Amino acid sequence: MSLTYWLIALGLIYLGSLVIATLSARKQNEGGGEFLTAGGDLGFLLGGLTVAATLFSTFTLLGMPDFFRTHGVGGWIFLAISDAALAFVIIWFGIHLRRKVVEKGFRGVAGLIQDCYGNRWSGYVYLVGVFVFMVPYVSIQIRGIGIFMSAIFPEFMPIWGWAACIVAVMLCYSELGGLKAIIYADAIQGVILLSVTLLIAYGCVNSFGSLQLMFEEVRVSSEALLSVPGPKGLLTTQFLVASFVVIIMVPLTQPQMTIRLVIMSDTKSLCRMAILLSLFATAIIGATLAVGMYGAVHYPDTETSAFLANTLIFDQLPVIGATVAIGLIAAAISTADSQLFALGSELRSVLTGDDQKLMRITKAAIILFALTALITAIFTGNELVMLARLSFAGTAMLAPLILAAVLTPNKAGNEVMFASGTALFLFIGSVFGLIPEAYNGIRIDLILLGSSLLVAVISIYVRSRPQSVKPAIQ
Amino acid sequence: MEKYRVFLWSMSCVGMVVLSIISLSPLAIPPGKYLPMLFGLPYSLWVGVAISLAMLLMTVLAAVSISNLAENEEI
Repeated sequence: MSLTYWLIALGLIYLGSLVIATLSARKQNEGGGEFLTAGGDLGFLLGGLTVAATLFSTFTLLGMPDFFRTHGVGGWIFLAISDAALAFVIIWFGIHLRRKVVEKGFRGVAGLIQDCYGNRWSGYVYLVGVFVFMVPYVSIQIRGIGIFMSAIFPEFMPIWGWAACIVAVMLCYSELGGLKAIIYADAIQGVILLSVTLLIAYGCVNSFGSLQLMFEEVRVSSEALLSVPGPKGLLTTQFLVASFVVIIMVPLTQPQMTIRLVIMSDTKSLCRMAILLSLFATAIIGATLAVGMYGAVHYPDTETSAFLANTLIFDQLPVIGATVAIGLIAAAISTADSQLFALGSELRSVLTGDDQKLMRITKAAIILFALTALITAIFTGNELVMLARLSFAGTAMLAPLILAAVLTPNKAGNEVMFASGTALFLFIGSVFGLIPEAYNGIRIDLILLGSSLLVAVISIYVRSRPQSVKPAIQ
Repeated sequence: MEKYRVFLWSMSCVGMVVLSIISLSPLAIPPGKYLPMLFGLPYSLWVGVAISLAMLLMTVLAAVSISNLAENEEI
């Protein structure tokens, strides 16, 4: 049977499971709170799968094999080590965050920040940061899958057609079923994503005979792939340090991750979820490494889209190729839907008024964000990993703002809000070339994040000290 | 019991910081070096895999130390 046959059959099963998940979630949703927080009682398995599906996106499944093929095994330090540390940060930050939520309540990260700082501007700084750097990230998910599908079926639909279809599916179940539908869909997509990647990786290693023989062939093909900084010299220590710092900040700075830490049912589930995520990350990045090394030997100088289409689809049995295509669509959708939904929820958290009116605004905002992402996707570039890293770096500028909000015992200091806001706007300036990307050889993201973190640490320390009791004036 | 919990938590935090520093130092990523290989894996890769697994162990230790903590308890 042909690839198209399997693609239609598996695509229908996938769409059917999304419809069931949406209807089931819709039945359970009772009000605005339920729609936005999925009831707040997430178990560790569902939690682990939704966090993994949200974190590992098109950028992992399409970007990382290409990244390993181009830059070599240093990619393991770039992503696997950072993700292992990220799992630990989930526990550490999750505990503090949940304690703060018990104290202040939760209607969104921006709302929580406003409550902790005692002013509205802190929430607006956060909103600007997540909007500016998350819309492009959603766009690369959509574009990534558009490029891939149009490489497999060049005659069927252009890139923008695939992108529009994905946005339409995503909006349908997000608008109908809320966060619960997204979480159910993520669980399905997480399982597909992991199974498909492991299957392809097994095939890649098997084609060489063993891991040892695979690396031997890679050595013959390009010895520089076996060490840092890689053939193109990208993976320098400074690049890896900066990437490590911005990636471990993801649970703090990306609202779709932060909200999942809050809605875990209890501390035990949160901890187990973090362990599950760490295992998931190691497995999936290991698998993309094998796919990348296969590409380095068989498709060393091929265009990215041709390498991926050949390795993931045409070199496989039709049923596996079709499963991969569905897995890729699942990966793109599961990340993009969570991010768009989080953007809508964050906007709602800084608004006040009637619940039904707010819900209408939230749903309209999600559609607006989706359309903005779709338009950006049509015009954005093809370097998925580097664009994803830029998004992580941009949102990382918000980390001091959030850390001070969560860790300062009473009211967080406005000095941290000013420092984070300044760092954010300077970083946006560096992205648009208005200010240099490095000073004295040190990357601007490291300088800005380091300075604002320092302000946050001093502020938290000073404000956490017990106040000296002044003698009362008689 | 409380002392044991605090000890485990502190151990996991210190362990995580040390492992992070090692993973980004020339000890794990010496430029241009891929020998000695282990089970056919180049040096930075097998050291990286070992560090990832050690980080997973630290995450498990942290989880064990605080998984029964009530939401409003201090670490």
